[in-house]
Amino acid sequence: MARATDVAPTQTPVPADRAGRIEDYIAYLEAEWADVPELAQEWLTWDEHSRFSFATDWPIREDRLASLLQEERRGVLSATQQERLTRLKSLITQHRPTLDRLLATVQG
Amino acid sequence: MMVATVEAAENAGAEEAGASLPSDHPTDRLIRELIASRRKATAEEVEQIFERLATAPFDQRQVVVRVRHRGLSYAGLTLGARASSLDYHLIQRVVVEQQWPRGTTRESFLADIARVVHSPAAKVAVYERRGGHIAVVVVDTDRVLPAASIGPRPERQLLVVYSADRAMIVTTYQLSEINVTGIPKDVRWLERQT
Repeated sequence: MARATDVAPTQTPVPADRAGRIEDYIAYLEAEWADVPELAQEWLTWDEHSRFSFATDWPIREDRLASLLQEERRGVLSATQQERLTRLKSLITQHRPTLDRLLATVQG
Repeated sequence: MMVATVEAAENAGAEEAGASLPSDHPTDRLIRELIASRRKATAEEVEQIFERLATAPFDQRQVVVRVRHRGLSYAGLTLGARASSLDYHLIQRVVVEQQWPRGTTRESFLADIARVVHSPAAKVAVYERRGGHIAVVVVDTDRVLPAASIGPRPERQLLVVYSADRAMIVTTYQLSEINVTGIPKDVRWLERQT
């Protein structure tokens, strides 16, 4: 259910499917990036092939982030979505160095 | 604290490096040579790479399942501490990312991969990443996937990623734009004869 704050800055109605995609991608990335510290702990026990397999899939996260940033530039995010994306950016800034160090351990 | 943890992970990874030899298959050696030499591939060589991917298996090795994914269930399978790479990728693409719809089976997932590799519209690129040699086949999702294979959150481009060192398809997924985030800047697109 939309709330009073769920109004896009442009005041242009956002198609339901597009809004749903934005919500899904924000939730997906919040979960992924919040899990990085846990991932760093798990990583110690992972074999080389499991690390490689994880690394090959990581671009999905970067692509979804790029999509969200594009939607932000278009001005179609609701106020609530914008707040969540802003918090997500901070989360990514916080955990990006850890993730980069994990991926740097991947062979091939 | 985190630095020590990650450094330990780096050491563990280094110890495992070199545990597996790169594939000696002629086409896998060709892929590595094309990456190293940066020479232009012939039309025959490009088709040779497509043929290699058309017969390559999807990774079936057991991999660690992330703790946050353990307990996810799909199609009668519940993820535990380890799973076959194929099953883990399938569940992620269907349940977590929703790029493929519920109802997708191992067989239909592999059939979709085959559609990508066999598509006349597919393009292939080669690149090196983290010391590994990769060939990736890319095609517009709506050109190859039937409606029954389109999930709730599809993306414009569909990729099949092949490791020329491990001689296996290691993943498949959809991206909105491969050139933005999916591949390194020095990727080499191989021209296909039309």
